[in-house]
Amino acid sequence: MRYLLTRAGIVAAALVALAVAVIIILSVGTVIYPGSLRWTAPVLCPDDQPDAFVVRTTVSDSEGTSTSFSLFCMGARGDFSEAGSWRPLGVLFLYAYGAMLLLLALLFLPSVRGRRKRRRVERGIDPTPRPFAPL
Amino acid sequence: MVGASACVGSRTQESFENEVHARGGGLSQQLVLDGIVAVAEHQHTNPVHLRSITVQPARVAFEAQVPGTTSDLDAYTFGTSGMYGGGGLSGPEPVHTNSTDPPLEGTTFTAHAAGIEHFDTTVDQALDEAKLPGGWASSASISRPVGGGDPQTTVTVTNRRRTVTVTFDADGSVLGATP
Repeated sequence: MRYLLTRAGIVAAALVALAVAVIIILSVGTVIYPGSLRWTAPVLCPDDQPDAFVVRTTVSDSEGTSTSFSLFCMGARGDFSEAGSWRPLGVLFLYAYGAMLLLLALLFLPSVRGRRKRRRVERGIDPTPRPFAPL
Repeated sequence: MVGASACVGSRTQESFENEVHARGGGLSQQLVLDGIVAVAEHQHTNPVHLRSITVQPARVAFEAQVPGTTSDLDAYTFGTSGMYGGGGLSGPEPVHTNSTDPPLEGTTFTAHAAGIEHFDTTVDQALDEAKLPGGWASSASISRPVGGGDPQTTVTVTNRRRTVTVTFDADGSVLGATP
């Protein structure tokens, strides 16, 4: 039981660390390429407003100049709605987090399965089905 | 997301608005219908009795009769963009009226009576009627004419040099164009 709890804790910590890493990568990535917010249009834009635009607004005040980015969805008539910036960022996070999990699964699952199989073989519990008994 | 940054893949607000203009101006029948539904849900009444509808890109404003009254109006706005007037329904804000104003009974109308179901067609027709090169429909308003009668839709078409106002009756027929 303790062994299982320890392993669950390690997996949870790894997932949190991965989330933090994805957030850092996204923060830098969207600053370098704000157009990436457009990739979330298939999820956030209504069917009748499929064309996505990232609009930047620059504001200058006494504290300096800041630029904000917002995703807009536009229809054929120029009708548009604003998806904002936080919702696209949230969807981008889910994209990136899902992709990272998939990548890690593809990288590590074969080796984990191989290790388990070796352990079973060592214990004499070889799970490989043997359709014909050796003569 | 705020910060000094590169701008790769993004547009300025001016460039975005140019795109809206190139596509006709962005006045949307669906936005008007969604706004009326939102007001109806807020007022718990159907149909909503309106004194005016003013349509702009991503924003529509209504003056709606307060249910259960004969002379009170509330103002609502409904939009799809925080940058262009606010998202969702805003209001009600009381509308100041004078005792000299005509009774609401003669000035209000329902969405159906105003022919909202062919608003997009009306806007397209206004663009054709205005004959302004590179023109776009910048706003539209719907109200009943002074002295009574069916609701009329007035569409303002503009380009970089001129503005033309085209008026339609509730059936979508052109009543006139004013340069």
